[in-house]
Amino acid sequence: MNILIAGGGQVGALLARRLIREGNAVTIVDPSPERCAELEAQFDARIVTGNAARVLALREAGIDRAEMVIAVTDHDEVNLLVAQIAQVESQARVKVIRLRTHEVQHWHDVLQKSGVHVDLIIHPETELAESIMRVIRLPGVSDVHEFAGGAVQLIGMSLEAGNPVIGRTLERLSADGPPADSLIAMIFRGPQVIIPRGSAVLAEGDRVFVLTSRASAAESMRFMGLATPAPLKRVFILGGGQLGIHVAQALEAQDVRVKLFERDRARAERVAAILRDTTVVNADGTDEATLEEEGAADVQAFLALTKDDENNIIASMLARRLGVSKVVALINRLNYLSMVQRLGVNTTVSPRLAAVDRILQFVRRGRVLSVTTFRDEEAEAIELLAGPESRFVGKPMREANFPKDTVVGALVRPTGEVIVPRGHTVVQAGDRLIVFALERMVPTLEAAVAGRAGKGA
Amino acid sequence: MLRPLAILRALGWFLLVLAATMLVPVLWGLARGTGGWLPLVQGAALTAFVGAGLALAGRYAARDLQQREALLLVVLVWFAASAFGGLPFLFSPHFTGFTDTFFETASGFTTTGASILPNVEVLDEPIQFWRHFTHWIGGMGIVLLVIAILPVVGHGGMLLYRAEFSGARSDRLKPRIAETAMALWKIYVALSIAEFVLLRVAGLSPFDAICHTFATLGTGGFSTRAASVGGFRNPAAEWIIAVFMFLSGMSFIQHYRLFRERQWRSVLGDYEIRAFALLVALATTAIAVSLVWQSGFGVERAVRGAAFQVSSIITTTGFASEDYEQWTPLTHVLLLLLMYIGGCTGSTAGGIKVSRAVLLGRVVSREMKRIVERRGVFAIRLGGEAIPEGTVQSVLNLVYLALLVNAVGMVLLAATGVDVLTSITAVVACMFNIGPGLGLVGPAEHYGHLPALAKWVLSVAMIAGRLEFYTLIVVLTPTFWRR
Repeated sequence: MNILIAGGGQVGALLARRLIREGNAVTIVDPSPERCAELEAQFDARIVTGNAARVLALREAGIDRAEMVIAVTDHDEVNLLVAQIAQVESQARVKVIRLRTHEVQHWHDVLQKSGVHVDLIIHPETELAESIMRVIRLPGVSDVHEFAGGAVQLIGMSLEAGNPVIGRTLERLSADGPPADSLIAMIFRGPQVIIPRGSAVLAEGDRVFVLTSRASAAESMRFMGLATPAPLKRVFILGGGQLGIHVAQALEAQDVRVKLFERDRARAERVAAILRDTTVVNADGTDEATLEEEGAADVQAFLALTKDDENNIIASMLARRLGVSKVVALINRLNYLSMVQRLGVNTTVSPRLAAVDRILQFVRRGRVLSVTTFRDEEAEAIELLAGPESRFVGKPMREANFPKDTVVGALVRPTGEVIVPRGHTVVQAGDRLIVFALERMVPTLEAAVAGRAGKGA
Repeated sequence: MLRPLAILRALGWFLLVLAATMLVPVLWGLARGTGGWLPLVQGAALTAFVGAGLALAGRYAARDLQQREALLLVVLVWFAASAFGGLPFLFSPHFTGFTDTFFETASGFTTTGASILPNVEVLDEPIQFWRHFTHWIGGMGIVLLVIAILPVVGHGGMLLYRAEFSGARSDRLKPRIAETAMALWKIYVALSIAEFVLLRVAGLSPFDAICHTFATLGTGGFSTRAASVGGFRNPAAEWIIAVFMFLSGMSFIQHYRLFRERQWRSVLGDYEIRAFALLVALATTAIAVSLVWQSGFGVERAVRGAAFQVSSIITTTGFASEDYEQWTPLTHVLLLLLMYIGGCTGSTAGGIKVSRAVLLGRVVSREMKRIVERRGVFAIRLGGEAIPEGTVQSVLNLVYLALLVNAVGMVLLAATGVDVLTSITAVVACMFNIGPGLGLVGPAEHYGHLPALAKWVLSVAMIAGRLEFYTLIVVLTPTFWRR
């Protein structure tokens, strides 16, 4: 497919890499000559230097031939203009733009009424707020991903010192009777991604991903040695940016008492004007004495969501030391991500990864119902629909011959039944498969599961 | 720099409009065939003469007024209206001297309703009509009337409107100020017609009905009877007037939204209207209970009297359905407190206004929070919306200023030898445009016996209060006159 990406920043580059590897022809438009030179060196793609809001620049980039247009520049205005230009200049079937304004819903309406068809508007703050709200009540849990409309959950958890499962093999564990519809799907250990077998041993510091039906989620967490979470009553948020406000509002709606730290006085006043029940504090949340005095020891969750990655990391570590069980840090720079988790921060969220995940999910929709990338896209969890012509359908799993480095974590029957497959389980057409795979296997896997009919979609 | 000619020209036009309004009672007199309209014609002629002279003198002057000129003009207009509007009284019997007519007219235009007349029933019909008509004009605003009908001022219009129209809330109905003024006057006229018809149905004479309509809508308080509304012994009329006083104490901007734009939910959900209604309900209940228990009133009489008097005082009208001076001390204290609060912003009522009173409460509660959370940043909210710090500050300043005027007024009145209760309540009743106080200026009394100096102090207090203190007092500061 011919894909045009406006904006060659981190998100644009990540998307380009993925889309190129999946065999697409990608053109990137970026205004900075230096950035373009860099992209040119990295990617097998056409790079056009120019402002994406200029009609001529987009024509030069071949917008008339583009089948998909993705606008992820740093400026909302430019992204909106790209959508508008694409509407008249191209035959693109799919248009995706990223907006950072909190007016995103209104823009959705405006675009629709003005006849500009945009298939997906990404608002990273909303995505992040949602993912934070999914894990905020679960100390020890780093992330929760949902599949099959929420029927299946993939729960990431860190094994901390003292957890009874440490040192045991998966075989021993399954002898203890875990919930039937649950499975340890992946282990991240240091830089390694392990798709485990029964002989694997769990170690302190591992990040373990457990796949489970929603009904068994709580039991699975208990089985994995996580403490029963205390009810969420008080939360600290650092940083009065859009994300901080978003999350504070979501928490206010659940009657949680929120204290929000904002260093800038004027900004603090503006935030206080927006949030009704949150206590806004004009103080530096990376200062230990301040945090202690404000009562950090009594909070159930601490969210470091300032613009500054380093501050977020420092504050999160402080909060851990003060005994907060749930700590979330916003990390913008992707290369910090794997390191931060090793520093004891339970959960990291990244607006860029959130945007990339959402766009990839959308781009591959049809064959792939959803996709989640891990570890800077080394591994993926994909939700696929088994097409009637797939070579896996109608056979027991042990004979189906799935590609190497892939594991079928769960399958969901059209009736909604969640099954953790064993060797004798038979895949039926219409089943949703949740498959774990290393990234390079993904294209093969998609084609094979969907069958020939799905390929053109 | 102030441009005297530009100000005088505008002032001239205001006087011409004022002269024209004096002819309305003349028409009433001619239509009814009563005599006594001659003083009005004389007053109108003199006012028009001076007005035409000023307008002519400034005919080449600029139309667009600057901020300072607009402020000065509004102050001058109110003093000129009180002086020239009193001419018909001066030319008629029963009034003795310029001090008295200035007081009576200022009391009329500022919708105070305090009278120097021991017995109002002796006045000729056209003069009586004029007295009440000043309430009706002054309620919505002399300046606003002129802005609505004459393009006398250009850009200055908004400045004038702000200086005269009450409100911490900058509601503006239409993009153009003249259209806003017109819209407000239409609602005002519509409500007036409704009350007039209802009072006629309740059995009042056309003259009594129209006079009390004027006094109700402007939240004035002049009556054609010495015993005020109580003089009619007509419970139905008392209820009608109580309801219309309540309506006049609500913002006319909100009336517009309600009747023209049908925004029922947003208007009925408005925090100020809710607070206002709550205050009226609570005070009415407390006073009615006190009257039944402590004074042995029948329930119907107690509720009617309480509802009437609470509406009358909180909207700063100042009608009396009975001599509440004879009621219990609790009722007096409650009524005195209501005097300070007043009606809603954007109404014809005086007082510091309900929205400001609510805001004061919020400021106090924020200070409490700040003591507990010393690094906390808290916004002051009214109706869910955060109020900018600048506005909060200016409201606080306004309240200080009002208390200062209150204090100075009391000292000056006491200095003229007036007793304490009378001094206190007379100043409050005048500066918040209520009318009757307690003691020697109670509902069954009048202001005629006060010393001349006291009358002048109270006249200035009335105008200061009507212009919400800042406008008048800023003109008296040296900063204003420094170039």
